[in-house]
Amino acid sequence: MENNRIILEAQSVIKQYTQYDAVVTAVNRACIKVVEGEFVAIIGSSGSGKSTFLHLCAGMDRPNAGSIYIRGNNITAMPADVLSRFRGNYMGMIFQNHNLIPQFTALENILIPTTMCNKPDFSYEEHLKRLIKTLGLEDRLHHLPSELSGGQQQRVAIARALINMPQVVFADEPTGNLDRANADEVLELLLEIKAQIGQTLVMVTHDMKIAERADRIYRMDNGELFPVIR
Amino acid sequence: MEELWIKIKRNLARSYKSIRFNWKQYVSFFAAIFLMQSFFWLLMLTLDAQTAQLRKNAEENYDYHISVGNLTQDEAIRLQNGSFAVFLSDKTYEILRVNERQDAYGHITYTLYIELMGDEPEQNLRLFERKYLNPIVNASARASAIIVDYSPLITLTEDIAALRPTYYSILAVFTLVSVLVLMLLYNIRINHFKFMYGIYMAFGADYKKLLYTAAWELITVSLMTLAPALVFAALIRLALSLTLGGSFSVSLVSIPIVFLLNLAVIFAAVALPMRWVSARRPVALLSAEDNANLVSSPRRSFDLFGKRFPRHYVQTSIWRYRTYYLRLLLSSVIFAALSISVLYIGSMYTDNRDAPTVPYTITAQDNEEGIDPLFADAIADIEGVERIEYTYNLEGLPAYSDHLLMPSNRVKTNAFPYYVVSRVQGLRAEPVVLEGFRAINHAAYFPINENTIASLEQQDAADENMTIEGDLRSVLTTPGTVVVSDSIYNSTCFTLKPGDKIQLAQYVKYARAIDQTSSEKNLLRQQLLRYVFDYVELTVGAVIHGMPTDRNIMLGLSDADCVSILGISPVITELSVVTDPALSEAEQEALRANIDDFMYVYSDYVLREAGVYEDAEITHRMGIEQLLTIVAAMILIFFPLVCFFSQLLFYFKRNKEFAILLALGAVDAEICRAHRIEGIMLSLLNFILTLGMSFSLNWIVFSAVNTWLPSYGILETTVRYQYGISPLMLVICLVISLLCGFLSCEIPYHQFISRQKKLAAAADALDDAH
Ligand SMILES: Nc1ncnc2c1ncn2[C@@H]1O[C@H](COP(=O)(O)OP(=O)(O)OP(=O)(O)O)[C@@H](O)[C@H]1O
Ligand SMILES: [Mg+2]
Repeated sequence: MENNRIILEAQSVIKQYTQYDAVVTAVNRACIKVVEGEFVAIIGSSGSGKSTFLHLCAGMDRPNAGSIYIRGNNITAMPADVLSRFRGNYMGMIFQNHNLIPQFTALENILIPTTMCNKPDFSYEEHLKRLIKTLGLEDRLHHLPSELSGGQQQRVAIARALINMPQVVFADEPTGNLDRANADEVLELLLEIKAQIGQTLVMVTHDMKIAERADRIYRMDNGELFPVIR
Repeated sequence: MEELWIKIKRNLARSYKSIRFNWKQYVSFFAAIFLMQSFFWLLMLTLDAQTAQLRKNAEENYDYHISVGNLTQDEAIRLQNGSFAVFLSDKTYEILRVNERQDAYGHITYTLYIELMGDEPEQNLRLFERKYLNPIVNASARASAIIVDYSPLITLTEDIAALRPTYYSILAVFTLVSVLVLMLLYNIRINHFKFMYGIYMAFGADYKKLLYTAAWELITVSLMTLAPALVFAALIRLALSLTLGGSFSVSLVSIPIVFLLNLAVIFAAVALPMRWVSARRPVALLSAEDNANLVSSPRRSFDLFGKRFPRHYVQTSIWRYRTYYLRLLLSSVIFAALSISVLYIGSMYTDNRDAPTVPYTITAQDNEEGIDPLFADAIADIEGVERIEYTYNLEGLPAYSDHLLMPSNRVKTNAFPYYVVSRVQGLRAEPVVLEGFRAINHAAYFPINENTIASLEQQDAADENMTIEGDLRSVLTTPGTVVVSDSIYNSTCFTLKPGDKIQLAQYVKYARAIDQTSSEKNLLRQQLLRYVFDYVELTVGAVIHGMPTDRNIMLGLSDADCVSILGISPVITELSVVTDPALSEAEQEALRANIDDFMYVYSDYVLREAGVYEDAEITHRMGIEQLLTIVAAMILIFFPLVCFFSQLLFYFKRNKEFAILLALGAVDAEICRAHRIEGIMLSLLNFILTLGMSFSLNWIVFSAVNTWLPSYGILETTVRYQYGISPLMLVICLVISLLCGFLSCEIPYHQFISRQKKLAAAADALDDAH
């Protein structure tokens, strides 16, 4: 453990939403430490703040208090522009509701990260071919998201998150819309790629079977994060 | 270099693809950029045309460079001798023609038409002036009488250069407006596509990336419209040239100018909106999609219980989509107002063009006696002469020694602040200002006599803005009675009435000298502090309202008062012959011949020609008015297009909402009525806002042209413009409001319904088949 590098560290992160006159504390003093190459699963009931926490860790949102370090960089203190580039270079995100751009085809959606962030010395073609093949998207590449099934959309979103070979992947219920067989297949794929490039995977899931494959599990309860001891 | 080219090509190809597949999103940009480029082209083509016109005019109508007139025989011979040279290469100039003029007393004067030698006559000009012309002028006892006129052939370069500042400042204003307009449009787009930008940012796009993505798209659009816009503008210009008989020419320099401006506008227009986007958190942009896109968070849900469907639903949805509607309204209002103010500028231009002009001025060689008032009368009676404007020797009075005191209660609150001083603050001593009065800078004195009264009355009759209150002739009968104008720089500053008492503060001596170079307001302060004055009370006999006035109000005194108060007996030093600018060529010639007849008798007067008819002809041929109308019309046609396509996208995104309403049992007719109400409410709001915006924009234009620019010496105050909104403009406001508010709700919704019906029909057909 000691020679392993900590890739993600959150220190008592708080996120609150003010809605008219009520304050919702979606994330309440959450702390987490993730080591390079680890697979961490976050479970919890609906509305407990899992997605919000994942967004904070991925630098998609800013916490009200606390700090988040990725590879030792405090992303909560980064200017918006630097943070954007940082996201493009080191992080991949799979959103809970896919968030595919409706007017782009599947292939175009997958290639967004490559156009937004030109990683030097990196050729996409090989990687792209493999991703598409493993995800079974070969004959759906030129379809619009509205012409894809929920599971196919999910797989496009996964491909989009992995195309840049990011060091950390944040996945928000990547198997939520899939049946058992497909869910397992997608998980295998994620783990395979993870193994190949030593990726770190932080995954929110409802599926205990999937969570059990993780190195460590955290439970989100009403905004608070607890490690689950197995 | 090659790499750059490849990069450009790749970016263009990528943007082109995205534009081709999503052309509906870009229609408004195509329209806007096409419009902008057309304007740029039109402006540059007009500049080219006017340049060509000036050149053509000079080359066709003139063969000489300089004419030297009113010469004695001796002088003429000296000038003629100067033109001889032994070697051709030494020859500076050549006499083309000599005109003789004999007056009633048998005196003969000569006019010599001179051509300068060499390919570049401008270079020979200095030599000619120094070596040949100036010695003759300086030796002449009547130096001021020799009339040296430079023909357009020699002033051509200057004349052309003089066009540039005007055109370039219009271009600058155009550019600014284009940036604003494009920014507005881009904002609408961002509002529609927040989600997309959120995804871009989630996967690493920073400000630079977003900016370039946006800019490349618009650059691609502008490359596609560049040539069509040029053709379109050239066709308009050509049509104008053909109908008005002006020149037509295209200079290649304008192509890079227009393209560079175009690029600048694009970058300026997307820089700010994209900065705003890039500073947002991706989640905030992404959640826009979940919340049906364009909705502003309601903070609190509407209490929908017991509410009737169409009406209340509309109210809530207008509130739901308030930011979107606000943007849409704002841009529609700005477009309509822009178009209306272009029309207003057009009307001002016409007023200016139709204002009486001064083609001839007559001065007396003998300044002691000046011009005979009988002669002035005779000239004033010539047919075609509208009136005579008189210049008297009173103009030479020391400018900064005297000032006027106006009754405080007659000074308007909006009075031009530069000149009106009540009390001097921030200085050690309190200046001497009589109780109840405010000081203004000195007046422009002019004598009131039968001649000037006639001139004023004719001006009053011709100028609908001008009225004379009180009796001008009371000045002649009662000593100490004066005529005053009530404006400074064309804006009414005083509410004077006949019978009011004003004070003329006349310089007696000074306690300390003043700095003559300081600003006018400062000069007045210094005067008040450092000079000692005598006060002369004057009674206002008549007030001239609405007269074009520059920095000094006019103060008219009888001849006797001029002597007793100012100590000068007035003498006419110059006559300006004011005519209708629209005289036909025959009328112009008759007028000139008539004036020449009188000049024959009064041979010691000198006539100078200003060439206004020629200038008027040239500007007429440029068709500026028609151009302004075309521009206004293009803006007008353009906006509903933008509005319509924006609404199309908006409704496309609301399709789900309608589909759900239909699924939950709402009737098509009810939803339709809901939209009609929405449209009417939008139209109403639009109309009110447009009207308000137009009034304000026109006011800014009016104040600028009428008062501000003249006060900085940029424009002249020869015409006083009218402020307001014409019925045509009102109609335009109404039509635009209807188009933007109403139709743009109605049409997209009907499109949705027809699509829905088609789907339903297809489903039925399927059912039947089974
Ligand atoms: N933009 C927002 N404004 C206000 N409240 C919000 C916002 N986003 C989330 N919340 C609230 O924060 C809490 C946590 O939401 P979150 O989406 O993180 O839940 P979750 O654990 O991902 O649930 P699920 O398993 O259903 O996806 C919820 O109570 C939600 O209502
Ligand atoms: Mg969630």
